[in-house]
Amino acid sequence: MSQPFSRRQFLNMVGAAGGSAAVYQASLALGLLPSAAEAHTPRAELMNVGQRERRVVILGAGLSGLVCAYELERAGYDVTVIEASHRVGGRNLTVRSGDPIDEMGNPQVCRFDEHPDLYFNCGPARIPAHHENLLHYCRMLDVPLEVFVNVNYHAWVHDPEAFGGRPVRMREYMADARGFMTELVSKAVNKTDFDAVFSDYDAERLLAFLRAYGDLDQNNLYRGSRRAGYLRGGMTEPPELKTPLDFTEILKSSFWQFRMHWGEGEDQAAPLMQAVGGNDNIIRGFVRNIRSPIVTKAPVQSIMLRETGVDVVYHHRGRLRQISADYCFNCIPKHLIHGIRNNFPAEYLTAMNNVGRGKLFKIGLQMKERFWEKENIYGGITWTNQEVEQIWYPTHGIHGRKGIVQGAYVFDDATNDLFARLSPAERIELAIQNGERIHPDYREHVETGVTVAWHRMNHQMGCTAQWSEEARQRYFRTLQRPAGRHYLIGDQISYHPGWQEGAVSSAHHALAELDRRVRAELGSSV
Amino acid sequence: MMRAATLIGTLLVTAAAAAGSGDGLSSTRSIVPAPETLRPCAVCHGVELVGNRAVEAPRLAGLPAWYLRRQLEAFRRGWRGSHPDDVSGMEMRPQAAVLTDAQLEEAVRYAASVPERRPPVTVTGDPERGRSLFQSCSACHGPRGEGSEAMLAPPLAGQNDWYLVTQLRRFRSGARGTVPGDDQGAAMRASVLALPDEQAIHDVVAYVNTLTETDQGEPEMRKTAAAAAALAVAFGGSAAADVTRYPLPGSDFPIAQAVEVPAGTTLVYHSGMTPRPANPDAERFSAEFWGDTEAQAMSVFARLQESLEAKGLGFGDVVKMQVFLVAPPGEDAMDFDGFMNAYRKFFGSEDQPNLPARSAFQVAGLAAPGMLVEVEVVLARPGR
Repeated sequence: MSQPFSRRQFLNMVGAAGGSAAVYQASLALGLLPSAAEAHTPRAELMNVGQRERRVVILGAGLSGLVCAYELERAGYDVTVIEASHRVGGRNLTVRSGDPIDEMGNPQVCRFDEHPDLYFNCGPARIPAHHENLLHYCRMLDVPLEVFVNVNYHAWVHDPEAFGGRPVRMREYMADARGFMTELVSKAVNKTDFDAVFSDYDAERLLAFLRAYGDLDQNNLYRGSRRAGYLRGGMTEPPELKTPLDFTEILKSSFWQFRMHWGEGEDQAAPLMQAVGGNDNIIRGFVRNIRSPIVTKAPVQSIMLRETGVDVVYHHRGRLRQISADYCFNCIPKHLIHGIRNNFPAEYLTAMNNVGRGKLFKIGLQMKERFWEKENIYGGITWTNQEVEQIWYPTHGIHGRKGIVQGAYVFDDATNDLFARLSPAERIELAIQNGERIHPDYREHVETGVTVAWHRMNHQMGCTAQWSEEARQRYFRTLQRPAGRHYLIGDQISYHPGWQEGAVSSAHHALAELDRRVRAELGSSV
Repeated sequence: MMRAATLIGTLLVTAAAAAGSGDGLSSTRSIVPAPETLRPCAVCHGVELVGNRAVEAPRLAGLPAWYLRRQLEAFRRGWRGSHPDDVSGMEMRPQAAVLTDAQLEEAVRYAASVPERRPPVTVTGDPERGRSLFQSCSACHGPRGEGSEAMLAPPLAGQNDWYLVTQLRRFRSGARGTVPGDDQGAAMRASVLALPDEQAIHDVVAYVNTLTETDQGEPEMRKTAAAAAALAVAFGGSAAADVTRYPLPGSDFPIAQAVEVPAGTTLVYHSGMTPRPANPDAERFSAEFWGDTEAQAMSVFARLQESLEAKGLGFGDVVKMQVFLVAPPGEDAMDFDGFMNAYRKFFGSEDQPNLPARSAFQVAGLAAPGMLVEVEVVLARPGR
């Protein structure tokens, strides 16, 4: 055995010795197949505390806070939710005609027309199919969902540095890129001395695979593909293939760097969903089903841990008020907690200090006509490496008169800083200038817009929590565990910051810990 | 709705848990919440505007009104927060722009109304090295980093040290002090460029930290002590400490030959006090800017009086004084008579007969060019 084993050789040997069940188990062990266990996070099942009153104060009416309120009141806890802002929902924010946008220093009012389709999801906009804890609540709370188109091969790929700045269809870029790559690999298969690794049979299968994968002809050459879209014809006239794009231009474009595979990511792959009529219908679903008081416009002034509980002071209607609770669940953004008087342990505060404050910027533009549909684009995302990064076309309201296009989705810090320092009007102007290079008559269609810099939004001042690998190793467990009777929650305390599922899962994790503690404190005889 | 809440009006928050917060916020004291219109300020600058490093928002509590007004104006004009590298300044700028003048004044009043607290020390540097670097800072910011309105120099002692480091870096890099019109910022940048390196920034800030710790004690206690002293004044007046003042034999010159202070008396050492400019609009550091020796001495005593009163003290409690005088421009000798004209108004009068032991010196120069007078005193705190 002088040669190293390939994984396939190994599996063949296992198969010969133990049959297919053995191969299956070995594959699991090698991480080649998903296990049923890792796909499920058990939902909180809380012991009912009944008459033995346990009081909980929840700081922040973001999604994780609402999940806790919903579950705890059903388990007999006395719950109060305290929220600093005028509204509930945290970063789950959908704006419609007349809604305020509470950005620090740049207050705006949404001037969209009044129409059920004319809304903009400023925060979470898509729900992956495996975010099952969130989907569980959508089901429980009767929040209707519809399919959301995330990746659209008809949308554009745009890069001022490639193809002479001309946008190309994503399908064309991807088909041609794959065609060229597979052609290159097929040449290598023919040239290399593959005998040491592959049998003739393997090599033949590999070439067949490459032909199928890249749409190569019988000579293993790429001469264009229907996948790129026809140049003309194909219905009543004979189809004519497009001439493949110049491969050097394909390489020059930055699209392949991560954007091309982005739609295959765990959280981005089809199908995704959105709540019908706006994603804040998830929040409305919770509020409809929570009986406990949710006190808004009530900024927290102090959080004091005691041996037997937590004292919270908040300011409401001109007065300071105190709640003494047995437990506290807190989804206030960790970077704002430092500004609240507290007596948290030093290591808890240090841990919070080591989680970065992310930045995120979006623009929603009301278009007087759904011009993109005339370009065969129904939903999905165009990519550009200009400042706005992405342009989203609405999945809902197809063939309606108007639509809300997401004119920017920015996630790099420098560009987020750039947009933040512009006025809302200047931001929209920059987005229009970017958009015009992809859709020539973009400007004429823009009627009004809203700009949302999450790193500048009142009560948020950031999106999303930035965990370095080192911070994960050193501080995640510190913050996930309670400090005394205080539980920090939210997407910030998850491996999925920026996703509602992260918020829900974090709430479930904290609730499970609370449940263990309460069972120990009260005994399981209740 | 409010069943779980207790209405408590002015609230005393008790920190029962043993855990220490390390951020200076955990003390046992009532909270002064921000007025409704100023809530956005507190989101970033924190409850009672104590500062929040996580969003780079500095402490505002206790800062003088003139400085807060000036900085808000600087943000409005774009002197601050318009350089791309001044990211947190950029975050503040639109916020300053939407404040109405009335809100600005309310913000200034609120910031002044909440008690100062000592922020936690986060900067490690060499305070000894910082002390010598700080000498040039003290010309404007004062020897104890107390700040000077006349010099448009803010207090440094008690500010968040990480904020001082950030701002010094920005002055150094040009992210502050390079916008046309921001003359004060440009002057500050010129001074900061004298700091040789990053380490120097940390050293000088480490020294500023010592000014809060050693000289002012726990700032929270400072106001309490002042309040107690003020109460003592209200209930029975300033009973002078039980000191013995020995008169100058055969002379009516208004100083004591010696002053004897019994054991158990609290002594207060006051830093040297320098004058405010007589005419801030005049050319900086000119004779007209500062005024003559008598005018400068009057200013020094007026400032000293303010400072002493804030501590529950007065000129009658002075037991020892040192006077430093510089010869007026073009002269060889100090203007001793000019100084005495001012001195006699505060010492040896019918209203205030208590005389200190005193020395006066002519010196080559004081902290800023053109300054002619500096006075330092030691006081015996009246018994309670």
